Amino acid sequence: MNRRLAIQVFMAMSFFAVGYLFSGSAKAQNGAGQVSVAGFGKPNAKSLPPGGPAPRTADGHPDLSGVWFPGKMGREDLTAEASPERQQFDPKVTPEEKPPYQPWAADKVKKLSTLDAEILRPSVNCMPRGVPGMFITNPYPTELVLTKTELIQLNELNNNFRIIPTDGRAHTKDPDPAFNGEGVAHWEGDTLVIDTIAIDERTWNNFVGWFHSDQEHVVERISRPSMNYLTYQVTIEDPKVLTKPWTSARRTWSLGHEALQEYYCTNNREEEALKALRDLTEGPKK
Amino acid sequence: MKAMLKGILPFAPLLLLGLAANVRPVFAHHGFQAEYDGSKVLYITGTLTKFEWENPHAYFWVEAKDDSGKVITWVFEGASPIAVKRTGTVRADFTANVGKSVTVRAIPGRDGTTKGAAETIKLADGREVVVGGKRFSGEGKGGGEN
Repeated sequence: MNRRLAIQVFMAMSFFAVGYLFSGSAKAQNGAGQVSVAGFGKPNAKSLPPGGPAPRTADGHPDLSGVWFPGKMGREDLTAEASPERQQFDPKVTPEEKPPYQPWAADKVKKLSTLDAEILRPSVNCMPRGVPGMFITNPYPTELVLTKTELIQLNELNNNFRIIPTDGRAHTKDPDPAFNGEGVAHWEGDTLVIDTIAIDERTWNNFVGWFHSDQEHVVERISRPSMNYLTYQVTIEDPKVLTKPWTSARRTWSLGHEALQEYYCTNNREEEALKALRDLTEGPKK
Repeated sequence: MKAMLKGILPFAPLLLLGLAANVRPVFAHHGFQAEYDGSKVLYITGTLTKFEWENPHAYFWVEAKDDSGKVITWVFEGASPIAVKRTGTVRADFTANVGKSVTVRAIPGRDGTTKGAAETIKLADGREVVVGGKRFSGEGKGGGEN
């Protein structure tokens, strides 16, 4: 016990030493000879108005088609990353529960080191976000195209897509695992309900290690309450990992007026840098 | 500076161990919190030598003199070019400034090397353009510079 305490004290001292030394080296290497605390600039953030009623398709459903940006701005702006207008829900109004992990799963996530958690993140290793990641861990726009028989989702991130039949059909028997799983959809009033199974186990449901099993079952509900807004809510069941189903807050997306662009995630230097940092701190891994 | 780095080097693994054990993640985009230190901000003035306009991150290199006059190469990471472009900074802002003097505002890497996660670049024509999200956490909500 005493030895453990001594190690913790040593680590804490090391941490402060690193902070002190790095601040010194930063000053010394600064070509301008200054370390400033100037501001970043005012965020360029403005919420869209509701924009009138949602358009409807010939068969009477709300037309979910459009290029949708996360948040309320209908666009992306780096200066607004922390602005309320960019947020998809207000956690003070509709807080989201933590994943209700079974004890073994909670332990597995807890044991993930900071650096391993980073290295395994799909955003760092360029893996697909999958379902429901394409809606709940995706900071980039997504385009929905609703036809008479399908919902087509085009993700700018990694240029991937999914096509979901909307005729209420059942799942196929024993579908192969896929990053986007097998999705089938039906309408409940003005809400499109997508039911997805067979999701590849390499996807995460958040940025900090929420893994899942082959038994994961995802139910997404999408509606368009007005012209400029899309509402998304997801329920995740996973009897092997969770103690009960988890339901997200209702998350807001807003209508953009620009085309998706090409985004292939390649050559991310972060993975290499993080692995080097891990090798130094945790020892090389095979 | 050199002497200080030499002094640190043998202890680097231990120091980094301490760092990794004590930093609990407040996850932002793409591992920034693990790789970079948002509690510090740097301004580096030097010559923009090259850039890569690729997803998921733009990278660019700046040669700057340290206090002893030695030229040091800094590598900076920005946000994805798509996000940078949507914020109003375009590829031409880089192509037009290769070989010119710029000032980069960034947070430093945790490994002590000459790298940083960039927020803005002040270009040779005096414009300060955004190349990454707000990474420096030491100034509250920011504001006022632009």
